[in-house]
Amino acid sequence: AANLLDRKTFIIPTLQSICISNISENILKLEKKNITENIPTVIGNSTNTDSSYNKDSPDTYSHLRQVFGGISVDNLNNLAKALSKNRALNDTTLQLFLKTNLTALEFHDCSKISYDGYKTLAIFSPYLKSLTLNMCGQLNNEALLFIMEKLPNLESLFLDGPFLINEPTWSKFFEGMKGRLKEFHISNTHRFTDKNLSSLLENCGPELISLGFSRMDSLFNYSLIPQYLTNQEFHTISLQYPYNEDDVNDETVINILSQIGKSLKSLNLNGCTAITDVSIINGFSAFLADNHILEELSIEELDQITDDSMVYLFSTTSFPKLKALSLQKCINLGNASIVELFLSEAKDSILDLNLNSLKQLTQESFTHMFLPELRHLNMSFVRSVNNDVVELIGKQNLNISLLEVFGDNLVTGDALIRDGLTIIGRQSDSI
Amino acid sequence: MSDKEVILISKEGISHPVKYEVCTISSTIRKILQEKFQEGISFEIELKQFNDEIIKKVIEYMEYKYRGDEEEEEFEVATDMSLELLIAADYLDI
Repeated sequence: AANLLDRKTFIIPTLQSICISNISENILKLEKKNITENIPTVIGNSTNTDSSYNKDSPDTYSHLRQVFGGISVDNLNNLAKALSKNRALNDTTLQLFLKTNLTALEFHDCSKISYDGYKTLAIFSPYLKSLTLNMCGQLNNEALLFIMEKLPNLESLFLDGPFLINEPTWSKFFEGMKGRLKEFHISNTHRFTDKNLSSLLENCGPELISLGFSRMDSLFNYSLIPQYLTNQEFHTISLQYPYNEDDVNDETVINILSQIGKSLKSLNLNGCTAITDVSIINGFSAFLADNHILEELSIEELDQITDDSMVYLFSTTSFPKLKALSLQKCINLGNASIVELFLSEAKDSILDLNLNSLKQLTQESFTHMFLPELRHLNMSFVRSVNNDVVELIGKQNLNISLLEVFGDNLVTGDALIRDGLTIIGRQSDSI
Repeated sequence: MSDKEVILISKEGISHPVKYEVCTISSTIRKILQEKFQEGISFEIELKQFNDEIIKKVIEYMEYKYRGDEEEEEFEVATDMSLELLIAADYLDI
């Protein structure tokens, strides 16, 4: 952006993009060379008895990594991140991850990986236990079943956007994963239905320890969930943005918490707007009272919950391990809830606090804020926040390093900010 | 600040002095230096996860970018170091 303002058009590419284009070019070159010369590329101890060149020979892939100087298994996930960030993960660069001993792989941007890519991934990475595929739009029925069949150790699957996979395939998948699947999170698809949910729960329910749904447009019967979650070690539940408001209601939440409240470490109910104070009092307070291990609580956009229930929750229930709390856009919450939070046991453990859009908060509530471990605070669109509050927060919370103040127009360039605290979102900071 | 030098230390323990302005091209290094860490006082940064060859190349790139010369030839990266260099570049945000 600075270059544009200076009317400069000459931009030096980043070192990352230089490296990536170098890698992609060379993989393609190597492929071509191998095909035309028909030379087997064998490095190290070959287990492949077929001596003629085979494009899918596992040795090709380890050779590939050797050509680029080799890479340790620990660094492969960093490589995946770097490629995803640059939107450069495709069937070509995917080859860098094949034939490894990796047990966990995370791809944050799979939009350019074809279904064939997934199939080769499943064949040549047989040790995978945990697989995360975000934006996996090209993952199709055949590829998902391949993953099920070829990855015998797979127990955790996190998918975002697998919209090509249809109802019968999901059911087949869960039948195949019976007794194996421990963690399953899925988001952004309209082909996952109630029938698939019951298939998931019937086949894999007793083993599940982590379950998540977000923006699932054909999933309505969330009330089915609680009765199947019987694993004593169940630790993460995330139900976000149901299609109809009433799909996740107070009754469902209370039933779920009564079943797994004791062992939960992470609870996320973002966008479940039907939830009222009833859930907070009869669910949260009642079943999280004996918990003591909850680390993450996120209840964004719950516009029906009020100070009455939240004050009751924070005063009766201690969250001694709570690290992340998000109350973003719970617009009916005011000073009382927040002050009660600042006085509760959770204040000593919170690292990350999100109070975005709690427009009823006044300056006064921040005078009670002494959170010794707090690193990151989001108080964007809390309109009462001004320079004095920013200064006060810096003084009282010794470890805070990041403060978001988007839309707080009383925070100006004159604010006194202590060393080590970064403020983002000030109007005066625009380029 | 123009005379200041920062020392980058590689896996092998070898020190590489770089001009302050050159190495702050990397936002990671810039933040390390500007926060209240020991590095901000001693101006020595240990990058023990990267070997000598990689650090040298990284410095070469930062100097190339610092010059910002339109006439200069494209920056060359050897094939056999591109993976590790990519990880270093990602870490240093350059």
